[in-house]
Amino acid sequence: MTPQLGQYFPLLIIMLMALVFSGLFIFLAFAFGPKNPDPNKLDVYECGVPATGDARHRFSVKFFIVAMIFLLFDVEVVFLFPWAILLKSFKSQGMGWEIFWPMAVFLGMLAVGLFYEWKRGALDWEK
Amino acid sequence: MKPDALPLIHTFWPLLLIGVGAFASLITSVWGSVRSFRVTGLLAFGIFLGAAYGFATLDPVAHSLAGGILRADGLGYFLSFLICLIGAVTVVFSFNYWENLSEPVQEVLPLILFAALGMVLMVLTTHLLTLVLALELMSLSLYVLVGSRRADPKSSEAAIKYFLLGSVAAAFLLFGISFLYGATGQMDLSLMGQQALSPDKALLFQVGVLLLLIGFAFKVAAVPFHFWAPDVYEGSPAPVTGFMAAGVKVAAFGAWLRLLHVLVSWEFLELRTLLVILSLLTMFVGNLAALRQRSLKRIMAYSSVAHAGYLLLGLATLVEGAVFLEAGMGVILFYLGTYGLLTLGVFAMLTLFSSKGKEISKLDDLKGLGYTNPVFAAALTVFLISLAGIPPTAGFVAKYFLFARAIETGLIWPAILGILTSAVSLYYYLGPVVQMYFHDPVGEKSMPAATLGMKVLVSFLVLGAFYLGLFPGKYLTWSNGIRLEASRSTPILSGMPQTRP
Amino acid sequence: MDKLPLLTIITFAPILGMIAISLIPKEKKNAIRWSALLATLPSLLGAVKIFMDFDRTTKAMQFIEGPLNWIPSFNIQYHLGIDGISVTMVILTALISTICIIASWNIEKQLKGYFILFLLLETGMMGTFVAIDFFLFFIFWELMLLPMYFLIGIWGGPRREYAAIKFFLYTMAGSVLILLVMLALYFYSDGHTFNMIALQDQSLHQGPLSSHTFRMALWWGLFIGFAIKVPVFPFHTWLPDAHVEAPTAISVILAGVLLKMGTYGFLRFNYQILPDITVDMIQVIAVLGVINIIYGALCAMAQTDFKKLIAYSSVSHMGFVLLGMASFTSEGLNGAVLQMFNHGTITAQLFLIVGIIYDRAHHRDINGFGGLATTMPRYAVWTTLAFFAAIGLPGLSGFISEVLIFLGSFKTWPWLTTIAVSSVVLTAGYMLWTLQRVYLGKTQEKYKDFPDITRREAFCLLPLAVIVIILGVWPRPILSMMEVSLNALNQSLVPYGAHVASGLGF
Repeated sequence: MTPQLGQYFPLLIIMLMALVFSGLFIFLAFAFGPKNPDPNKLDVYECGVPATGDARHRFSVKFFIVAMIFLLFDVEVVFLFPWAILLKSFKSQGMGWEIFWPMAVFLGMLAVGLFYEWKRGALDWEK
Repeated sequence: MKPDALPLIHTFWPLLLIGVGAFASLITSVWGSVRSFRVTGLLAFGIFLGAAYGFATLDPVAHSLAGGILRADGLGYFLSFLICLIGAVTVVFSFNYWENLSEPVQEVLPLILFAALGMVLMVLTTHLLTLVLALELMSLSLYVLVGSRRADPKSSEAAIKYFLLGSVAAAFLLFGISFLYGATGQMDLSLMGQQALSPDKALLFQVGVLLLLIGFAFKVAAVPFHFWAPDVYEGSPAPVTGFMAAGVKVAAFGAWLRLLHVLVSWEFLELRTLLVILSLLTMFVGNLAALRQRSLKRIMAYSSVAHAGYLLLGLATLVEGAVFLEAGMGVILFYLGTYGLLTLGVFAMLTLFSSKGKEISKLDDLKGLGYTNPVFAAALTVFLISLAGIPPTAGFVAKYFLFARAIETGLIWPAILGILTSAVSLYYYLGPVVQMYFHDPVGEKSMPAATLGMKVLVSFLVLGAFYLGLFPGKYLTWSNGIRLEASRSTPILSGMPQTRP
Repeated sequence: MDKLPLLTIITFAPILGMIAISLIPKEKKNAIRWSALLATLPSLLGAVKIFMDFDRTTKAMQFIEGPLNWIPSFNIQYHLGIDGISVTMVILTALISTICIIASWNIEKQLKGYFILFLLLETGMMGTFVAIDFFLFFIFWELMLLPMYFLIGIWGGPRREYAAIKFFLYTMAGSVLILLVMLALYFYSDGHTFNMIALQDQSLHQGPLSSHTFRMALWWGLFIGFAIKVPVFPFHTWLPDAHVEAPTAISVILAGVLLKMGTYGFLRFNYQILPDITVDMIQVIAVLGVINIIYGALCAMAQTDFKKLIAYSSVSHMGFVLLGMASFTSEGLNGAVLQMFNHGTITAQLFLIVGIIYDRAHHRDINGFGGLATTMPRYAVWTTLAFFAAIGLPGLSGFISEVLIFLGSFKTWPWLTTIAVSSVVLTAGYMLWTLQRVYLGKTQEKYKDFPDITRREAFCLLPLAVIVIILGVWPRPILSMMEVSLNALNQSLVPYGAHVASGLGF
């Protein structure tokens, strides 16, 4: 084995140990734990409220669209934080515009995306 | 880091044009009416032509921007030029295909622009992460395009299949890149090439290279990573299939050329042998599997596999020990251009044969077309025999140059096998021709009228197939002059050298 | 005169005609027919001019055009020229093509496409014979393939699809071999050239090209490639199928011109570029020639299909060409090339004759006819003349070439020649037997009111018959054109151990 791969050897040990121990405890619980099956225990647990209907249930595609839009804009906003923090220090070095324009382009793209979603009706719940 | 905006605009304005155009077309297409489809189409067509003109006239400076994220050299410009032409042709196809639908699928044109942006970026970068990003931009757009015949389950099936296997390919690619990074500490290929590799890292590096090769083999449908091709080709709309067949090949082989250029300098893996084996497998499986197909689209899928095999043989000719024979790139570039032209020609015909979103691609449906529609049948015949490599068409000279180059560099047996498989390919390329001419038409054949643009385009493609076949000299000298380094490169349109000394 | 690019004109005039025809609306059938005829006339007139102006005292290439750089990075040139080996073939091609246009007058189906493909075919044939550049030769050689494929496949008989594909795949297989040899010669010769004349210079054959084994491989590549076209036994099976299914005019072209390309290829490439191997392998050519002669004749005898019979007689007659070539004597070589020309004119007549009767009876079963001489007396006269020429009756052209071949080959291969001569009896046998079954005997009731040969049909046969008679009495005009070149070719084989007997009997 080459020295590089050798560096990762402890990692392998940890993974093996994790596997062994978790497997061991599951097995021990299974082997020695008391078993009293009861319909209530096997039932779906939903905050104490009795479950209704089947879990394999068709959702409206609108939920997915909303989820996707949320994810997109949420992730994109994350980029704004480091930028906002660094903006001042860049500006003090006279590089304000250089850091301003890329973000402007980025937000412009976002705006086009938003416009597109809006026009396509992705933001309307009822069409 | 100071963003050098001026050189960016100066050397990459066509790329920016495509990018801005893609967003603009997203806005213009959003109304979903036939009129907005037309406006978007004209916009996209103009953008592609403008960008093609730009790439053809720009002076390659072999200059890297922002740590290799963008690189302006002859190879990148030439391939981008090809991609833009392919894009422009696809836009014309889309007009013919979608315009006569009551409600055109409006995302098609912006997606084509985004996919083209990805392809162009792919051939203009030496940075591995940008490469992956570009590849994903291209692939994601293509997955949606493939599934854009929403009414047809086959289209959805194709999209899912392409998506799953494409993701696997991307995973291989990323994994390989992480190995390369681990071995060299570099993400930029041009820097990676300047570095000496310590022998203890050779294993990491080799694994990385292999994974990269596999990733790209998926993309060009090289055997044994070709299983998606027939289903995806069959399921996607004809214009998209043409775009995919031609464009992805150009982009992926462009990236492959760049990788090889750097990778050969470590003389470890028997890269040449590896490529030869891959190419032989690909040309054999592609050509033999095509023999049994009864659908023109599936035939084209396997033909694309087979041509990937010939191109891989071309790649193998570039590797000699630790030397990358840059001068040999010319025949590969010529082949890529020719293959793109001819494939687009066949798919132009398939686009014409489809009406109202219903595709005609079964060989039996072509029966008697030579009598009901002589002009289109003749054009399709020209493209098919040219793909088969019959003189005096472009396909022959392209294959000829490629095999001649292989023999010249000592790959005699692979070249002989290649020529033999190419002779086999004649049989399936003639299959549609037999149906069109040797059988009487069955039933009513109503061919939807072709748009003017389509007629002009097809005439251009046919003329191109003959022109490149009869007078390839100038274009071969031109593609032979394309280099990765600045000193020997010239802009594509100005000063084509006349002869090679 | 030398400023006029004569060879370019005769090669590309049909292409111009093709473009013109594609512009004529397809309803104007007569306009299409006449333009097609017009398009072949420049080639015919050019051939006449070549016949008159050809310098009969030199073996060098004449009417040279070029070399013009065509694909400079591969040193491919546009370079045309003819010498004694190819000049008769050029004349034959021009003549047969024009006659075939006239013979195709009654084609009704897709007339426009037919003549377009036909003219393309003519360009391909001409180009093959006049090209000096190997690459150019190959382009023209391949150019013939597709028109021929379509002409058989669209206008052919019931099994046309099978016949067309078989023809295509066989010929393509041969082309692949030729292509490979072409590449090898280009890369391994000193100076990287496709020029056939330059490639004859053996001092250029350096490196692997000087290895005997490698040259042997190249020789066989070329030999099989061309043998498929001739066709030499055992590569002949495409020929009867193609002939039977092809329309009359296409059969005429196939037998009259296309088969000669194989033997022309032997002389041009195997003999001139790889002479040493040719001398080594000469037994192969001689034996295959004799097999062709006997096997073709026996097969012909067994046929009941009139056209298949003629097809197999072609196989037999092309065997004579091989035997003559294998003799390495002046008589044999001259006889072989003269036989190529004569076979072209004679077989063309035979196929035209079959076509005439097929147009009337719509079948070709020899046993189904009888007594046609009484209903169609003038037709019977034309037939008899052509049949006698094919048998090799003295006074007709076939006799001269066969005698020359036998004279030459007897010196080199006495035993083989003795066997081959026996085929004369076989030929006479099947030809006369056919004559008897079709034209003599009791007239069948249903054939009573057959019209006799028409003026157009006779007009097709007339020039061929005149040539057959003239060359039967006075072969000098044609022989004198090829003599110098062929004798020089024969002498050039001497250093490689060929036994040469000189002197030509005429």
